Amino acid sequence: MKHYFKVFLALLNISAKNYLEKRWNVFGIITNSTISLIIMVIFVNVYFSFSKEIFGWTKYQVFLLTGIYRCVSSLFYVLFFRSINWIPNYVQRGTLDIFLTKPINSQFYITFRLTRIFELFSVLTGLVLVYYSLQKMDIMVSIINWSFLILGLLAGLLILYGIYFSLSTLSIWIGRFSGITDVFYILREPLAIPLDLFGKTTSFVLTFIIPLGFIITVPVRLFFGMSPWYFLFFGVFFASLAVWFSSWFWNFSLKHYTSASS
Amino acid sequence: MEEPIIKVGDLKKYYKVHQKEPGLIGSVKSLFSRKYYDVKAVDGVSFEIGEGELVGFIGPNGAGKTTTLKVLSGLLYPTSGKVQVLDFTPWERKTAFQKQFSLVMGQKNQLWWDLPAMESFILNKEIYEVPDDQYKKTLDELVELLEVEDILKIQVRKLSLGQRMKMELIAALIHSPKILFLDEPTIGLDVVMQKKMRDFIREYNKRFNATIILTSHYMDDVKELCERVIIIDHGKILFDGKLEAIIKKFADHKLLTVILEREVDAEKFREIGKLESYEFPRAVISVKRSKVSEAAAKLLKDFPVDDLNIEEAQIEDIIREVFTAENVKS
Ligand SMILES: Nc1ncnc2c1ncn2[C@@H]1O[C@H](COP(=O)(O)OP(=O)(O)OP(=O)(O)O)[C@@H](O)[C@H]1O
Ligand SMILES: [Mg+2]
Repeated sequence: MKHYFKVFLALLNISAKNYLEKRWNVFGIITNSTISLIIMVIFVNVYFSFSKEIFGWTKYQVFLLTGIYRCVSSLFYVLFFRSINWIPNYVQRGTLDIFLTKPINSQFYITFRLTRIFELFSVLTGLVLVYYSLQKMDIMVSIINWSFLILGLLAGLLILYGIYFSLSTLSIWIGRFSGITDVFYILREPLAIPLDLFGKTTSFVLTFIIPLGFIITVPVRLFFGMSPWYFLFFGVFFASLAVWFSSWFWNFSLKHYTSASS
Repeated sequence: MEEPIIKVGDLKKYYKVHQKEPGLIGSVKSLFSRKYYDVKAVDGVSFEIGEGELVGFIGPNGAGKTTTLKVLSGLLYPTSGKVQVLDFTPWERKTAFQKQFSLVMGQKNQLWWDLPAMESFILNKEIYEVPDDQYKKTLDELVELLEVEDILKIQVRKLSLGQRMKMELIAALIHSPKILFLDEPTIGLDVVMQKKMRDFIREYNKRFNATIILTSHYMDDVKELCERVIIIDHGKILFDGKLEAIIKKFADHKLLTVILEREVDAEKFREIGKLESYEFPRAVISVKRSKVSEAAAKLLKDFPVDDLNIEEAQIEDIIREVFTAENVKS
């Protein structure tokens, strides 16, 4: 355990230094995340200019969800996104060979190899939106609901991780996977609004068949008391399943790994 | 001989390759009925290697050298056969095993491109759990041996190929592995750098009694470093033994070099043996081992010979012949 923690810190350290080598990065994030936030706010405003409530959601509840979405997706960027995105590259270039000879769990190593600690900034912009919508709604939220939210989101982050890692692992089978980033956007985009807005059937499928709903919508519903409390346990269940599956699939794929010829 | 540290018994590794027909129709067809065929990269290889040995692995492109090293490192699961390295089965990827070897591939790198190599060393120190004092000692020793003191703080992408290779070696050796698999470590380096690498590998082998398997396409690497050589082609071992023994086993001829007093018609040499080269006054004729004395006598009697020399064939030439002969057969 201590070994893994130390390696984790060493990886944080080395990726931060690596990241700073390209200084323009930081500037890019700040502008990017601010612009997309403004667009999102305008979009939601237009949407709600036609009616006060849509599928049981009010405007500021959606703002809050959008803020949360921004926090979760930024956190995913900080922790996992780039590392997972690089798996196809490792496979194609044969760098995976070197990782596999290291005396450390290869999934762990690859998962945390390329963190982006500086993108924590965009988590802040999300928090601003959350704060703003809470002010506007003027409600008191109990500690219990807060913990539902946080635990639900943690589970959600792991669900997203498990799904995305497994998808990226497919590159071991197909050799190339240049569209992996696009797949991520397809997965992520619907999370920015309450899934209920897609209608009953779609939102059911996106919650219980492909558990995307448990990433953000359900935790926020739990926060507002719109879903029964035991949905938290469904979330935790799906999170364990996703992580377990990603690990199983990774090890299974490695048995069939043929390593790029060179 | 003491207990071998690497044991390989009838190792086979076949790659399943998906057969693609050319063109769009071919691609669509292959979606429905996938045809596979086997590439027999390693096809029944057995050998044992003792502690501290430095063994050269040679063979033409596609012989199966890299594949064998990948199986020994635990990257690939073999199709069949038994492999034991340090009493471990490599592809189980036990931590205790992984801490004791290193695989270095001339064409693949582990260093962080945009950072000084030092950063990669520190990361490896944590991964391999090398204690601080041991890390310092090993690093100092390697830095001194490879003479890289002044480039430790320079970004890897700004280093020359040779400098980068040296850094790759340090990164691979920072945990003092007992076993080293070097796959074409000198590829692309100039002659001077190749020599330095060789000196380092020899020194490392001696100083730490490390067991090393080395592949290379440069015969000088093998000639200078390896007492023992394994020749592999088409996934099969053609030879395993001392370098000099290659000559006895494969060279069925010797080379007669004559210095002539007067020019002689090239045709006339035909009756002696095969004319390898002729540039007056020097002619080289290759002659079957059993006919050497007879040929020499004849040369001295019938030709205007000033000087005569009998030599073994060059190892390079023999090996080249062995490879081409094999390729013609298949
Ligand atoms: N990942 C792979 N998938 C399919 N076939 C492969 C793969 N890797 C290697 N091969 C094939 O297996 C055979 C042996 O390859 P290998 O890389 O072991 O040869 P090598 O002796 O290292 O050659 P070289 O001197 O060119 O490096 C070759 O025919 C090669 O095409
Ligand atoms: Mg090779």
